[in-house]
Parts: sequence; C-alpha cells; structure tokens
Amino acid sequence: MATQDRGRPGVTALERRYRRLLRLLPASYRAAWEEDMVATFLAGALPDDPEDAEFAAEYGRPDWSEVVSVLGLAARLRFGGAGAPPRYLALGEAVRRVALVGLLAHAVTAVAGVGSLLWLPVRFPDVPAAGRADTVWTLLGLGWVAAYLLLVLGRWRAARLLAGLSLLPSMIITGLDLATTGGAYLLSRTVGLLVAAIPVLALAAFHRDAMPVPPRPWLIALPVGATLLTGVLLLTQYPAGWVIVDWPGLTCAAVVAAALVHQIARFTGRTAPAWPAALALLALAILTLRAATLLDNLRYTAPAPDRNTLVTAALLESLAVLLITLPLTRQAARTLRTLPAADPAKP
Amino acid sequence: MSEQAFFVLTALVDRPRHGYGIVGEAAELSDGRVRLKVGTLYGVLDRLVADGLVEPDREEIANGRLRRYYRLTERGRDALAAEAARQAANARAATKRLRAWQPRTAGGPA
Repeated sequence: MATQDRGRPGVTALERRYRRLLRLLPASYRAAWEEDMVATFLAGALPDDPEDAEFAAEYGRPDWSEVVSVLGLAARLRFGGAGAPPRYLALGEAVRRVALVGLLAHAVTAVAGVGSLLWLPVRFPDVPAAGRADTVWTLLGLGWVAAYLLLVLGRWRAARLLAGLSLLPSMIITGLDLATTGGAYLLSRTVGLLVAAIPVLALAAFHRDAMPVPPRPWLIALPVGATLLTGVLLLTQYPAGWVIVDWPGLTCAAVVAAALVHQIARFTGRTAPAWPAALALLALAILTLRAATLLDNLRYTAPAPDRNTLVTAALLESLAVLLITLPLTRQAARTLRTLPAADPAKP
Repeated sequence: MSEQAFFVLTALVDRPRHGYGIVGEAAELSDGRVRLKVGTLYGVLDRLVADGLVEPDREEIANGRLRRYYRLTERGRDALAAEAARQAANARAATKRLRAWQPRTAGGPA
C-alpha cells in the first residue's frame, strides 16, 4: 500500500500501459471506475523496495492474468446481458446469435458428414470407402453437436470448452495441409480457420448476465438444418455433380436466405433488434471466405472446362452477399446508434 | 453468490476498505486461495454496488491518487449472513455423513 504512488509526480510508463488496457472497457464504465482501478492495480504492481518499484514503474507491464481479467470484464460489459445499457445489451445479443448460428452451422455439418459417411458406400458402391483417418475426423466433428446442445441448454461454460476442443482438429489439419503443400491455398485456409473460430470467440458473450437461450427453436433448427444439408449433398455429390456449389457457396446461399427471411420478418415486426448486427457480422465473414477461396482457386487450380462457370458462380455469390450485407450493416449501425450506452452501475 | 463476491463481502464486514485493501483481505481470509485480479475485483464490485449490497463510503486522496473506500450495506450484511448459513449447513451435512461412514475392513463380512 505504501508504495502505490511511488514514481509520481508524472504518470509512469506502467500506468500508461494499464490505462491503455482499460480502454477496452466502455467509456461510461471508465468514467465511473478507471481511477479506482488504476490505484488498485498500481498498489499491487509496485514492489516495496524503492529501486525495484522505480524499475517496475518504468519497464513493468500488466501481467497476463491482469490482462485476462480486464478482457473478461470488457466482454461482460460490451456484450451486455440483463441490466446492461440497451446498446450493449443489443450488441451482446447480436454476438450471442453469431455464436449460436456459427455453432449450429458446425453441428449441422457434423451431422450431415456422419450421415454421408453411412450412406455413401450404399449409394456409390464403386467409390472406395472413407479411410480410418477420414472416419475419425468426421466423428470428431460430433463434438460441435455436443457444444451446440450444451449452449442451447444453458451450459455455456461447458460449451465454450468443448467448442474450443472441437476447433483443434481443424487447426491441426490446416497446419499439416499448409506444411505439406508448401503454403498453397494459404489465404483461403487461414480465412477458413478464422471463420470457423468466430463462433468459438463469440462465446465470450455468454456470461452470468446473458439472457437465456430459448431452447425450442434452436433445438428444432439442428435436425432441420441437417436434413436440408443432406438434401443438398445428395443432389450435388458425385457423380450427380450437376449443381455448381462448394462449401463457401452454400454458406453464401444460407446467409442470403436468412437475410431475406429477416427482411420479410421486419415488415411484420417479428424480428429482434439484434438480428441485423448478427447477420451483418456473419455475412461479412462469409463474404471474406468466398473472396479468399475465389482468389486461391484462381491462383492454384489448373484450368478446367468448367472453370469460367465456377468463377462466375463465385462472383455472383459474392455480389449477392454484398448486396445483403450493406442494408444489414446500415440497419445494425442505426439500431445501435439510437440505443443509449449509459452505464447504470456507478459507484 | 460466487466465491469472489462472498470474500469481497466478508472483507468489508469489520470496516470499509479500498480496492487494494479488499484484494489483500480476500487473500488472507481464503488462506491465499482467492487472489483477485483488478478486472475481476471491479467486475464483482460493480455488481455488488448495483445490487445494493455494497456502497461507496468515502474518497481520499493519497499521494495525489484517488482512493475510494467501500462499505457493506445492511442488505449486504443480510445476504452474506444467509450465504454463510447456507454454506455452514452444507458443511454440516457433509461432515455428519463423513463421520457416519466406516471404511470396509479386510476380512469383514462380504
């Protein structure tokens, strides 16, 4: 305690660094708590010995546990729950929807993948069956299903852990692929991994104050989504490859369909204010994925007869997503701007 | 009530304390197990203030820096007492069951 203000007058480098970290918190919260937080931090960060304290004040940095604690507080405040200012509540609801939709996409893909594993040998007996590694890889995807169900049922801590673990195989495979191909498809692989990680990161918006997820519609969405995706796979899997569609193309179609449903629901007043921001974030991620895969395909794929058709399809998909992203972003910005950001929790 | 909130409230029972005082007292009360980081402490404090369990006591300037003290409210004292009684009842139930338990001895009846 006695050393807390050693190094003054003048703001020390350590204090500047800590205040920079605190900028992660909303301005209204900082106005109420920043000075107190800084005083408490410095009291604990500066050693008793004057020389050590001087050194720490000049060269010290907030350690990782302090950084993590501020990050956790920032996530709780910015992605607000019950009792939060309306703007942060809307932002929190939007990010929580991104996590839910993203985990749903992972879960649907995993279920359809396991289904595909079962019926492919029956449908195409001449095609070699999936190897052991492919089977294990597909089955590991079921971790996403468990993570999604846990989240929908309110077990967000367990969902966070399981979703993080479910991302590991993708990280390992991407790393191995890049190493064995000498860095080919680096852009699309990296963007693909980042897009896959978005719902895992968005789980930070789930905390004790977060509004509970209404389980029924989200539980229904899993079998409905898996059935739809299985239908698409049945239509497009070889040798019936008459529809030009790839995974980024499918996600483009899904987000455009969701945006159209949202716009229709807007006119009937049956949509939540968090949806424009959630859909805009998802659309932006999918647009980036589509653009990255298109660029990498142009760079690395050998010219084929249907290449022009594929490129045209990818461009049209990008354009469609762009066209829905712009109004969604405008709606989201307008909604968030008009909502008050004042923090009621003041000492 | 989270364990952190429990120790923050307990730290304020005898007298008002400032942030660093609460951190030190919580560590001492928990035998060093609960080491509150600043972001965590204020995440707990702002909720306790919003819920009316803790309130600001006074502000002092020490060496040119603000030092804000917090005190327990009546509501906070009641909430802490209720939580302590709940935890004590849990501990009594577990202790009673443990005392009644006898390890199976080798050669005893099957």
